[in-house]
Amino acid sequence: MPQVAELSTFRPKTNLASFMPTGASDSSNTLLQKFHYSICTSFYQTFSHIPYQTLLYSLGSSDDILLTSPGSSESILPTLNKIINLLTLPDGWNGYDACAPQLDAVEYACRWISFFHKEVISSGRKWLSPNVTASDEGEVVFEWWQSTKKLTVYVSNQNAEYLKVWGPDINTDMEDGKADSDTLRLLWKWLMS
Amino acid sequence: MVNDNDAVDDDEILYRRLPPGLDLYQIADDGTIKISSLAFSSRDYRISVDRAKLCDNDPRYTLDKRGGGVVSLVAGEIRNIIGIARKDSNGDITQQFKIDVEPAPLPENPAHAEIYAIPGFEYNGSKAFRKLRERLVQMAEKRWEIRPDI
Repeated sequence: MPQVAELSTFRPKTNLASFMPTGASDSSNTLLQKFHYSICTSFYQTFSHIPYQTLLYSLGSSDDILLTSPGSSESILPTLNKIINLLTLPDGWNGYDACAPQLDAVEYACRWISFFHKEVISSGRKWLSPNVTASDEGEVVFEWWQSTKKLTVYVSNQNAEYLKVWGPDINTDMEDGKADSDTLRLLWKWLMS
Repeated sequence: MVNDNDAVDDDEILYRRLPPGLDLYQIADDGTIKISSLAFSSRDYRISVDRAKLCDNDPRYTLDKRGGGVVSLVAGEIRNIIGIARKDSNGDITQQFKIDVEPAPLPENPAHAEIYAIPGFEYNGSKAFRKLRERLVQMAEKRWEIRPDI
């Protein structure tokens, strides 16, 4: 019986990879590749067809510098694409036993990083694109390296937490806390100083 | 004869693979390879590694079929990690964790071992686990066994 890969409906709060066809035959592998491609393409087209200002507006970041300084807005788009693409990762995506990224964490991460980007740009500082990946618990994780300093932010479906690392001593060279609106500019100032 | 259930000695080398294409590592401006702390993910807070002496000291044993890289750690250095703790909302330490390594042979991988905490991180220990991963990354960045092709 022929298998058909179709992404007809979007299923919220579910990882798309769980709907991927599986099997050992060549046809199944081809089908899987087409399915993966269709997911990536559909998201990418969403990002490509909607002007980025509209996209950022939908993420709650439209009311100020993102609209008035479109050049600076573009620097966040590669990161947003990477976040969305996390939804294609299945359970065990890291070659071990990591959970698949969760849709609600991905949605919140898009809003969070857009807000953080806005805070950095509006403070007149240079933006660095983060490494984007996912945690074993399905959170979206951003990582920045600058000299000997590293900033990691874990974004779940409702909050964001940071971990600053600047040396090997866990007691004196690492610090964690909430990555909320009160701390974002301080975090970036620390990273870039 | 080496037995896969023998205790892991302090001088044993442990391999961990880093699959390609998942942003688990990236090249820094100075040419060094930066490893994501998520390269040491584990849903059950027990980090899988392979014991070098049970795989002929060949890191290719651990390498992912798709490529990527392999880093190594030293068991004794892992056991010497101190400062991993759970804290309350005031920042006061409520639980100290000891880090250890033990054999965990699998039918398909007799060299398998696991890095874990005593007591376990299962109850409200995810923040402590994050710091452990960062420390392991610092150690691993100095010990590339197979550098990824980037």
